[in-house]
Amino acid sequence: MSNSKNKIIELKNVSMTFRDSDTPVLNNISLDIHDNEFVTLLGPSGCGKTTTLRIIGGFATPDKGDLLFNGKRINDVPPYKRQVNTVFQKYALFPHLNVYDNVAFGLRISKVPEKEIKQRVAEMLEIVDLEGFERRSIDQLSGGQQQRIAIARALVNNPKILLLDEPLGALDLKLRKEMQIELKKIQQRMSITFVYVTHDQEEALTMSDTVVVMNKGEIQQIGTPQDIYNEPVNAFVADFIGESNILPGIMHRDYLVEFAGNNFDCVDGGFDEMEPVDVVIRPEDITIVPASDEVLNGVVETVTFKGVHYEIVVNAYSDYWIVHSTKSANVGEVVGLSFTPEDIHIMKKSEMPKITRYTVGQGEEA
Amino acid sequence: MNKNTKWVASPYLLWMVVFVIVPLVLIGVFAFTVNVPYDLEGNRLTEEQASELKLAYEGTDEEIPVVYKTVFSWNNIIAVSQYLPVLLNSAWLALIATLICLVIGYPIAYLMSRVNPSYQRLIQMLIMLPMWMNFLLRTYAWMTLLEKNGWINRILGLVGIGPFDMINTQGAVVLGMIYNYLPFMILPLYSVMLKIQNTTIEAAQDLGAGNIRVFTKVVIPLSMPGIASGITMVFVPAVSTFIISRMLGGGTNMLIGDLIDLQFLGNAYNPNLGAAISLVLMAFILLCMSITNQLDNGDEEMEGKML
Amino acid sequence: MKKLYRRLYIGLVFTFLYAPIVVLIVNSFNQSKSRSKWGGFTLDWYSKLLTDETILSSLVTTLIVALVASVVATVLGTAAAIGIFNMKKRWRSVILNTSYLPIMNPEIVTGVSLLLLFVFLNIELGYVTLILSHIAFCVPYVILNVLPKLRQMDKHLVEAALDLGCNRTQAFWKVTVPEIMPGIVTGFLMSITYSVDDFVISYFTNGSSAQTLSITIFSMTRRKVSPKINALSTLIFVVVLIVLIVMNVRDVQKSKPKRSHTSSKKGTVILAVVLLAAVLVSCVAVGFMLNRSSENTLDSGTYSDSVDWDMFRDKGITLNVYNWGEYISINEGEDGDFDTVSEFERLTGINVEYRTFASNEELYAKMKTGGFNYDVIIPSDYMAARFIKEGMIQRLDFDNIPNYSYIDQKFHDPVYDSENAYTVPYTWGYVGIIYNTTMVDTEKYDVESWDILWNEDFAKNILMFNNSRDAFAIAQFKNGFSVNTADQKELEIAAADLRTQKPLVQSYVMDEIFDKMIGGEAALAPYYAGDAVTMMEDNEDLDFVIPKEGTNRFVDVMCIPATVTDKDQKAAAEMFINFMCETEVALRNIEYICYSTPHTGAYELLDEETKNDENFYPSDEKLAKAEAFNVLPDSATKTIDALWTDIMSNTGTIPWLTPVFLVACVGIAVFINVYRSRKNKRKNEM
Repeated sequence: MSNSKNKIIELKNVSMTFRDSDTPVLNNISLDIHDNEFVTLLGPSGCGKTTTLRIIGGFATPDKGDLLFNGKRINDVPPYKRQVNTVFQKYALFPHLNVYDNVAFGLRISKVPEKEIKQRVAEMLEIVDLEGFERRSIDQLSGGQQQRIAIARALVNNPKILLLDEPLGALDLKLRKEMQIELKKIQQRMSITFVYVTHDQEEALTMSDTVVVMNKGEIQQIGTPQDIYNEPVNAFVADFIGESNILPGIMHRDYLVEFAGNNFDCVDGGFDEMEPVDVVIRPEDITIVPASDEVLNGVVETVTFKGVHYEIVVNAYSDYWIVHSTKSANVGEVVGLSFTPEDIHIMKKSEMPKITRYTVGQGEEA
Repeated sequence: MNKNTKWVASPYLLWMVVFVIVPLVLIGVFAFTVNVPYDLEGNRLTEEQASELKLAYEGTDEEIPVVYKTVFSWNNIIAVSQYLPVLLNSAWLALIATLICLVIGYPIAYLMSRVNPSYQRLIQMLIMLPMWMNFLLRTYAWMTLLEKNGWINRILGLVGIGPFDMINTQGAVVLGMIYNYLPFMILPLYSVMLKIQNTTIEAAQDLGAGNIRVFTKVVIPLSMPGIASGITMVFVPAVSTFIISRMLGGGTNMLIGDLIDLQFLGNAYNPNLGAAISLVLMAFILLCMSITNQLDNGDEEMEGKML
Repeated sequence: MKKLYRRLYIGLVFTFLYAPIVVLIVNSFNQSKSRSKWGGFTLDWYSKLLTDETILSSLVTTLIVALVASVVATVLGTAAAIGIFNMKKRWRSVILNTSYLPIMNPEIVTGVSLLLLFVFLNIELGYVTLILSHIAFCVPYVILNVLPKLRQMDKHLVEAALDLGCNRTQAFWKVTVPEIMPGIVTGFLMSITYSVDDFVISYFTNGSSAQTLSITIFSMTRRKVSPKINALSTLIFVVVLIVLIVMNVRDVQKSKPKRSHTSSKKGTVILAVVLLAAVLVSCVAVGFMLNRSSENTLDSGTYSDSVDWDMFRDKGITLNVYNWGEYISINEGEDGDFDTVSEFERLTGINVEYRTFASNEELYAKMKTGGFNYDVIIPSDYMAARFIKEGMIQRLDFDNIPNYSYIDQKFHDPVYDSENAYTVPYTWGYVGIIYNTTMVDTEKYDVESWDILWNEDFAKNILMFNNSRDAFAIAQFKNGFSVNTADQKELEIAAADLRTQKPLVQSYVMDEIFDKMIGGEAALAPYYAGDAVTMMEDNEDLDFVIPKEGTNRFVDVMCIPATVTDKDQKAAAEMFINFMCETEVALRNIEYICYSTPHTGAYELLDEETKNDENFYPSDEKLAKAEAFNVLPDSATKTIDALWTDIMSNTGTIPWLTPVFLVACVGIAVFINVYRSRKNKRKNEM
């Protein structure tokens, strides 16, 4: 989204270390969040995304740096005085209260008249599509219903910002897809800011206006889903967002890179001569062609049917390449791999070990 | 949130110091001290000298020139030596009682955990129910049953057997222990066995284990924590019981608990010796609990083991 | 087949568990006071229960102590659990392990350690100490139940509450407390249960003024448990049974349609508690009402007017009277006996807490321990002498005891109280052998000798004194020693005799003797004449003789402990003593307890038959060889105590054994735990 909008939350050089550890969970984070924006904090577990959310929510206090709300520093404002509400990971609904009392909880605390509470709860339940569930107890609800109650309970207080901590983690795939759409709809209807934490890149790309990719307590990249996907700034982002073939390479000069035993033309420049780099090529950008001297040749190792496409693993130049292709290939066949210079993304070497080279989707988060 | 809520424990911590730590320290202090008479110049007197002095000054207006001082001494601890056989005898009886409780309780707990839940509740209730009758009364009722002219001998007499000498024997004491502490064996065993899922047993059967091997290789290892806490919960009260032996054993087989009682509120007033015996008993129980804890590898803390 | 075995097995176990319960319940309907004979069906015990002040007031005490202790323990324990939960791990486990000590330690050690504490802090034993010690062992149960609930609780719930606008306090009350409520409730109920059931810890920490049901039952088991207690237990049992059944049925119904679970359970629990409380309270209430109407009183004209009986009325004075078991005339509600204590209360308006002990040595232990505040005690002569010697009783003001003039000249200036200043005789008597004529053939055996108590033909049919002085005395008479010997050798010979006798002894008894001799459980026993007469009234087969070797003649005396410092309190205690010496009171009392009276007025009024009964007032020649106990030198007392403990326990003597044993126990325990935690650590690292 455009930066011309009002900054509602600013994190300035925020650092934080847990009491019983040496490595910081957050290392000098700076981030602006705007009015009416859907921001997603994306990263593997332990990357600091949840901590960032907790700092905004007031459940954690940064060691260094400032947290600003509408330009005012709120580092030391307790959570109950912030105009922020949270949807917790496992919903944290109060098991001793029924649906109505859960949703009405915040309003009762702020001493809203009972009549108004009734009206607002009813409205909210309508928004989350759970009218008539008022008297149910929490353990009678399905996961998806609990999820929506948690959202209703947070939204009924008219927060300026809604924080969501992996809210869809516990749901099955189909429900998760439905809820993604629903959440986006709710966000647009209520026109407030959502800060969403997830480790699921697909979820991030589907819903967000802005995606913040984090790793090891640092922000890797901030951008729109398209930016992040198409122009990852480093191999970590490339690998984390979608699937990638990441190969070690050497930048001979601008627009010429060596990897897999060959020199290739590319469109990137600005590196030192002979600088080691990471070369990223998306599996869907590679085409399988008959083997020839013009292209990189390899042997097909496995072929897996994935519905829309085949995932073909090719062993070329003692590296495994993942190729997504609508056409199948035969195991053991020698094929050529073809890609254009535009498909080659060159990145500065990051320290990131290659984690998800060979898996589909990302690792589970606890 | 840690900082803010820790303080609520502070009244309790104070309480704990006064009502848990100080009393135990007092036991230690008593165990290692004696009261001995001194004269006013600070010379140690023998008991005889002290009595003589006291008698001499009695009836006169002058103050008796004897002061009692508490001094460190190994004597109490050394004196406990002669009662070690009593401790070992108590431990022996308690051990027998514990093992019998285990043998009786284990199958019951197992059967209980395998019937349907509403029966489980019923059986559990039936096991707990006798505990609502006063412990002394239940033991007293056993007297009525076991006596020479008691119910059991009368019933046996009808079929021409007996009478047997049952009361005032070590056997009766063991019986009393078993009776009173059996629920403490069954309940922890039961709660552990509830957690053994039928699928685990089925898996073992699937892998070719017969009934006996299922039991020895799966059920028993999995119920070890229950066995450990059951043994502790029966053995500790059994070894230190002091009223069962008096009621069912006729006072002829004194147990370590009776011995302690005797030193504090009984016939042989000597709290220092009593404290020393208590200290030895505690050490012994510490040892026993360390051993039973080996049966159960895992949780350091003990919730869940009890009930 | 398999199922049959299974059922049989379960059946057997439950028979075992319920056999004593059946005995208790059956006996609550048994007309016969003897617990092993059936005398026909009756509900009398239930109605008599309602008029028994001792039982009812101890029931009230039990309930008050249980309630107060559980409430305090629940609050304290819940706060503790929350605080501990938020502590760092190392502190947490240290504090938790310490917290569990009162329930992991043997009960007797906890009891004894608390007793030492109260004495150390100089707190008078009574309600306060009882409640404090009950709290002490209840708190761990609360922590034990609350802590897992805190662990199970979703950490985010509190954050969610904060997020929704609660401050910390609100979050605590609105979220944390409701969440851990089931744990709190269970902890509370467990506390109540354990508190009501507790005997051992109450035994060590109850004082003279507060007596729980367990303690009352305990003092009854020493002689004979009244079927009234069976009736009360049956009532409690039935109520608990009903509550459990209701809970069970509701649970089963609940489990079908799944509705809000916690609230219904809470409801049942509350229902249960309310029901239980209602039954017990109504019991007590009805009891007190009935109680007022069924008193056997004396006309106030019978009392001498030499003192102003009303002096302390409405002054809120309470006297703690500590006497031997079965040693005062009380009204048990059955045959309208004269109730000495309530008569005194009625006459003077002074409240009396009446408690009993079993032996002089027990009395001494309690007096010496401190913390027990008695106002009037009734020890035997030699113990009174020891109290005088140790400054534990005080001089009486005989102006307040004009009835002392009735005491027979024979009892003036006794050896045990040569100044005649500390004591007022209560009764006197001597020790003899009570035997069952159906089991002892007097033609064949010489009953009139202590030797019979060493005769192997009566192995396991002999009862023996369970107190050192009386037991030693018998061995001393047998050997022709003085009972007041301080000679080490003579004491050891006596001890050796007692040790030889031990295998023949069925049971060492004090008040338990009544039950056993009346029930025909034993053939022979040495005991006090007055009690022997009581037993003979209940079992015609019993007879009593004075052995020819001589016997102990004793006087039991009333005295006032030195701890009574308040002037009014002392005067009230003296009023009690004076009251006991009122002719009419002394008469009725002596008729009830069957001992011999030193009170000339009462003696005159006795019927001729009693006066001439050799068992009550034996001729001088019969008691020619009788010897009274005198106070022994400290060293002799200590020797006797030590020898007695040795006899009662099978002892060995290797002096260095304990320290080695102690070190070994602690050492091995520490080693095992360290080894294990190392192993765990390694496992975790892998």
